[in-house]
Amino acid sequence: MLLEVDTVSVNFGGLAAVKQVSFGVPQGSVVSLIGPNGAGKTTLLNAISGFRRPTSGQVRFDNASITNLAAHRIAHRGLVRTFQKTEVFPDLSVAECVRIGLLNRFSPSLGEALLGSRRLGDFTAKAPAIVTGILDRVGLASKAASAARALSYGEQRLLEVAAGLAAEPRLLLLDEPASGLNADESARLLELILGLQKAGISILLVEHNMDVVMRASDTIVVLHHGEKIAEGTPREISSDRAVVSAYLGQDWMADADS
Amino acid sequence: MALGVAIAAVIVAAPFLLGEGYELHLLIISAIFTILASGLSLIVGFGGLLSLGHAAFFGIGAYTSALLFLKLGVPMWGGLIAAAVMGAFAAFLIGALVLRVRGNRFIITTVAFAEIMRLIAVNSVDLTRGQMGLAGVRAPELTIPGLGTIDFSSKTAFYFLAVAIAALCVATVARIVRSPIGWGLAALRENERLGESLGVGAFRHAMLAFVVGGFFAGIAGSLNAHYMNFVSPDVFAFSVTTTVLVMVVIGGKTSIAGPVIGAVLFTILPELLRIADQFRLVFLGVVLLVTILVFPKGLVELWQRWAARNSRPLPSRTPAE
Repeated sequence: MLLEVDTVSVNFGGLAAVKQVSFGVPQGSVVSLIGPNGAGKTTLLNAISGFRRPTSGQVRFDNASITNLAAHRIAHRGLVRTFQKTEVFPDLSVAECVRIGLLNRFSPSLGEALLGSRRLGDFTAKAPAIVTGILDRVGLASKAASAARALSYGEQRLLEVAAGLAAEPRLLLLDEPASGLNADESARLLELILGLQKAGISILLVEHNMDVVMRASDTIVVLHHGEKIAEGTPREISSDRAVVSAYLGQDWMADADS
Repeated sequence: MALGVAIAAVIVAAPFLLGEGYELHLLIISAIFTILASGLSLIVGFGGLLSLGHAAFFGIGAYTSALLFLKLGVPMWGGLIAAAVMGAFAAFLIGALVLRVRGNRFIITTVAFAEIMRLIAVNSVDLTRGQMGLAGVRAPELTIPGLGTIDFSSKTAFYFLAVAIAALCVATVARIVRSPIGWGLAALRENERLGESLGVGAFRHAMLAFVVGGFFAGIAGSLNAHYMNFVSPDVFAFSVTTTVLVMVVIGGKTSIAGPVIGAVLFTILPELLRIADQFRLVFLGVVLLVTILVFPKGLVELWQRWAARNSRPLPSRTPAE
């Protein structure tokens, strides 16, 4: 198991936003976290990625506890996330935004930056080609020189994924990557996610777009009022009565049966 | 390239054209302020951390160097290094206290720290002679075997020394911001949360900018003490901080040349206009306001716009530097 979430709870004051949730992400798989708004999905992602301390429970990554690590240290271990509300570096160019992700692979000391080293030289020499490769992969190569703030909403979402890829993740946490994307862009995103999986990157996906979820996921975990109410394959989940009544609605039941 | 050669020629020719007078004095002060401004640009500009206590590190450098000279007879060469180290160390202490939670608490702490240092300088009369200040902080000499001795109490000699050190500081800042550390500083400035998620330690980068800024300010303080031959608690004044801040913001806070332009301009301009001292801050305030409105990226923008208009359209470049 690459990621193990072990009875994690997150309280906000007296309110339990996430209650005793456990699940795992096996190496190389796509796991989706679904549930109605307010179910605690983003809170759980924050607890996993170091942006909020769990009130209780353990998060293990690659068999080591990351429960109390700072976000950037968790990233160093290979667990990288994107945000629900799109985040970019607004005044930087698209290529520069992606380049920042490369710092997760190597970040020179002050002395190294001033005096130079072979490792630093190699790193900076290779950086532009890696950035170009990633931009190609997400379909933003033509925008490399544009300011991040000038991109469309959908392009900014892709840029955030691109920067995440530059950080060379072993597990990528995507928080509603398809929200606000049009049908074309969603299809491209789905293709991208499946491509990443093929390349060996495991994915934990929070998403409302059920097309993307059903087609991309190996396993789906359903949260409702902060609790896990179901876990299974897309087929199992779409025929689970509790899930259908809490979240999916009757249409999905019909779809799965057909 | 041609521009660089021209600027270098002007810098070298200046003392011979101007003589040892007041004009050369202004250029020496410009060089000292260039060191302060380029250091502060790393913190405020590239790192995006508003620090209002830069005078603290300047003053710590000045007193360190002056006291070493007066009490222990250490010439400026030793004092310069000690001042830089003390400036960096003070920045490290303040940074360790408040750089984890940046924002308002950081800004207020920087202001308070400079004021505390000023009060210490005023009240430790036995050591610092309080408001009377320390006089007789002489400039050093440098003996080069076979060539003779350079006496830096001559304005021309001190000018070249100050300019050389300023150039070294500016080059250091340039090297830092163009290295991957500069990418990390950009992440800190633009979107700290996203940076953290990508593995960029915000604290580490903030601390690095702050300590380098403190190091440079210590150097500037030492140079100032031995050039003026005098140190008083005024080196810790809030107006020192605001002056340097104005230089950085007006020159261009995320550019290498900006702080240099700001430092030279705002040392010389108030003198040229011969505005009485009580209007100096009013004048700086008005210019700051107008520049921010018209050139939000600082006066370097003026040059960039001019260069853009006068060159063939280049393939679009990244906007940094």
